Amino acid sequence: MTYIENIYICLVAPLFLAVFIVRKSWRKSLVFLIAGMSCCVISAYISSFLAGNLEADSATASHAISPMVEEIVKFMPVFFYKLVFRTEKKSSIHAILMVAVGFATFENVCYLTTNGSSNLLNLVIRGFGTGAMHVVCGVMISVGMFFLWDREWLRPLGIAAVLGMAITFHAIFNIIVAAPGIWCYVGSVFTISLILIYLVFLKKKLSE
Amino acid sequence: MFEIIETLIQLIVIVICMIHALVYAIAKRRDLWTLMAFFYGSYALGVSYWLVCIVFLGETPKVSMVSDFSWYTTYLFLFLVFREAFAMHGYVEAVSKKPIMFVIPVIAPIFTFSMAIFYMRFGAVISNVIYALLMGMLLYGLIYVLLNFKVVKSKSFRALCLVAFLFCVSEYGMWTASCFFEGTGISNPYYWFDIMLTVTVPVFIPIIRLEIKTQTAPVKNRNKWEVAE
Repeated sequence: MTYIENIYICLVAPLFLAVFIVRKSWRKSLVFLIAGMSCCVISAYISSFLAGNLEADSATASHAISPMVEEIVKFMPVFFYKLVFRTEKKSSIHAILMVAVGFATFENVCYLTTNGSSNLLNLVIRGFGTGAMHVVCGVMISVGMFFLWDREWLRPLGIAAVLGMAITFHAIFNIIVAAPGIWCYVGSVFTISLILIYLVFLKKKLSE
Repeated sequence: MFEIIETLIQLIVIVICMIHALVYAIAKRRDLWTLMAFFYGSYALGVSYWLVCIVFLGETPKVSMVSDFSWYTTYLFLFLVFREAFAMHGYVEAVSKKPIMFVIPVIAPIFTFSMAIFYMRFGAVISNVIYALLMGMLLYGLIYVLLNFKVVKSKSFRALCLVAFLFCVSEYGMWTASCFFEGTGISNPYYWFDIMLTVTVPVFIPIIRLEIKTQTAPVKNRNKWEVAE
């Protein structure tokens, strides 16, 4: 059994202390990193509860329940930040990515403690693949926010729709990486290549 | 096997449309292209999820929350495309204001909710209610415009509404057929409607292109793209 709340305290403690010490411009990033880790703990509890309630096995839970819970919970801190502080789009996009990174980091640590750290190749693939998937979902939501936030009537419907897209992408990734053989690598390489496509072709165009 | 090939062809068609819409959204900076890119994107993700489940798990999803999410998203984006085009034309003022024209489209939500009650015999309650709500909203708008066909001048907007209506009809055809037929061959009517959907989806692209042309054309030149009353 993995005591994720103990791991959470252990990981978050130094970051939490650093929040009070680092420069103001860095503070926001650290807070969102911690928020991402907190989201991971919360979504683990909610997913387990829902899986129990729907009598789903672990495979079904991993591709049908946890993507939905994780993406919605991950979006909540940024949604709160955007609504309460009425921040600029750029700042929110940065926040979404930091939450995604925090989430992926904590998930990887939990994976390490459960499955051990002996197989380096597996861990590299897992680390980059899952990290890339969470970042791709973050980018998807941030691109959606970038285009759909400006008009009020488009905002709630558009954001709900973009969240739906992120959930489906997450679920597809979970199914592919759980498949035996080469598929785990294919899934990871695919998400990493999506990030590369974004960096090479889309980022500059979007920032224009 | 037929199911996999048919779904794969549909996925390829949608992905090509998505890439086209995405390129135009980035190059032209028009909201309609952005919404179309999201519409195709969410539809492609839904189809991919279905395909991945069939290929890797050997069955359709047991808990269909995720695929439902992507279908909700697709209908939502199609509604947003319709609303955006409707608002851009300023038809809110132009179309008929006779009360009967607002009352007749109410058959759309009545139909969607009746069908939802029927589908509840086979599936979940909440997802059917959400589908009925989204489809009811979309079909209400489409029927409203189709009833005002003579008042609506733009050819492209008429075409957009017609194709969106066909899209909804093929969706309902698929859902209803899947309640009565179980085979996975071409003899199953489900696949007829699915093929109809695959044919309908790319038709949006030229229509949206024409629609944007109409919107960006100077007022005095608009007659070129619009049909006279």
